[in-house]
Amino acid sequence: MSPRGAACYRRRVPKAPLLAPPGPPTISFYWDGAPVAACPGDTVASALIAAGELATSRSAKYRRLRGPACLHGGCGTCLVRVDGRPNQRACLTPVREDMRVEPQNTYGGLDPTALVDQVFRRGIDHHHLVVYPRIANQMMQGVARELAGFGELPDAPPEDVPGVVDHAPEVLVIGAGRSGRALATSLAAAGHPPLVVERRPAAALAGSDLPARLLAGVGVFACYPQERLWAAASEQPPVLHRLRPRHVVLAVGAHEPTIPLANNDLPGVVSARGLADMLEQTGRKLSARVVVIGEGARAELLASTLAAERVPPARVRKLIGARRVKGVQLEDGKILRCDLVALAPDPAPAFELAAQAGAPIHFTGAGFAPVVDADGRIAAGPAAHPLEAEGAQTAPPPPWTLWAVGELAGATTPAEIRGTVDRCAAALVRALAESPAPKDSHDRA
Amino acid sequence: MTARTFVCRCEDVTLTEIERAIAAGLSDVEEIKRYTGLGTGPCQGKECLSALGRLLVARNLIAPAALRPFTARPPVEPVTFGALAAGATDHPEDPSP
Repeated sequence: MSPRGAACYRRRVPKAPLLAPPGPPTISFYWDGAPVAACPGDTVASALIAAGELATSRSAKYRRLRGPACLHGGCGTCLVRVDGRPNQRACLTPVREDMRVEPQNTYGGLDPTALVDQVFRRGIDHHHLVVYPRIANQMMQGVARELAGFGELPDAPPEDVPGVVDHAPEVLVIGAGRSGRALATSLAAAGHPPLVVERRPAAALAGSDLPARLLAGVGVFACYPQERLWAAASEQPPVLHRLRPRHVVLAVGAHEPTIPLANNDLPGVVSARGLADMLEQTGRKLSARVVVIGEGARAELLASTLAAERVPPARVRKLIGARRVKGVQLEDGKILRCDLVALAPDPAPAFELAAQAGAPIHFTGAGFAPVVDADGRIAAGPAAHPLEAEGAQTAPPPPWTLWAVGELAGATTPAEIRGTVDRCAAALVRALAESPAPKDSHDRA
Repeated sequence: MTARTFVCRCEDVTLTEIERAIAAGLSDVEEIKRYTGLGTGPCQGKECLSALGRLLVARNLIAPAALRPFTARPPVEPVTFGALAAGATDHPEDPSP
């Protein structure tokens, strides 16, 4: 355990709460040595945001304060140390009584790196700092490593026994969001219940329509077409899942790209989609003032869900605040005061696994996506990158069919998502009927 | 605090640094990645890649059809050494080199 907890304890000043709890808080955990009240269903990030604790890390180069931003396990600025285990995503970690959560490279009220901000008022460019003379450069290497580092090694070796599990499902669905769940329901009704793998923990999956065969808290991290393998893992306990499916449906959704605006990195600048999902999942209600920045129907819908004022990015001059966002300054000089800024960009499909599987990838105008037909079937094709295309073309085709539903298939509204799911389910059921599972293929899931 | 506009928060790559790369004659995602470090942090481009693509297309620096993403390499999700090591335990005598 880090020794600095006690020193920071007395410095913590409670901040104004930003999210109201759904009921009386019954859980208490420690953030940087000070107790934080939480409710069942909270993640570390939702409890911290609720308590007004918005900063969880400092950035690598300019040492700027950062906090939970995407709220979807994607962005990496909410990485914290939990009970001695480094690099845990606060937005995916359910709260537990007495858990000890610590920042990894920022130090709460007693921040020695504040000195860095005083000395280097324009921020540190660690690539070019103290390069000469060489002896100083060698010392600087050590300092830079400490400043930019993502935490210390665990205090002790983990006691968990690692495991490995093999699965050969008829249909593998990656993702248990809206589209993945709907597809699993349709396939199960047709007599083909799929195996569904979801990176979020079970506690973070609210709702009654959970698939029957669900691996939650298990992230699919790779597709190796030449090994005929999809690989997934859980962290606690560390288990590797090797998946050899006959059909794969990617229901992985989309990323929320940043909107380039001045000070778009301040703690308290979050994804509107992530915030809306977090409120739905935790049952918390906003007690903060929120401004949504975005354009179009989706941004408008998110603003109305969050009961927030919406401004288009073109009208924004900059976000204001020092240690956290305090408002949005518009081009005409007007300032909208707020506690949270929620960014609502056009989502960018999560194309990465499709690309690893060898799918042709194109730019949609919003982001990159695999080429799909009307049923969501992903065409086999050369690997996305020309440097890798040669090997991919000589390799035998992978032994699965590959499909996309939901946002990865270009859908944005709930009705469009439903449409992609229905068409994919119908086509998959036809494919399963045309080529039933071979006798020797048994499901070890 | 200096006002900065970030395209990649992981590696602190600002719009100014992207402008500098463009001024140096670069217009391709991989080129700008190597020049600025964009996309090389913990999120591996989930937040910045499409933002950069949109910017390059909006400025007519590259045709949408010519735009290519970074090579998508594993892992796309964090994975512990413990879990990876588990995959090796049932092949203790793997003869492959």
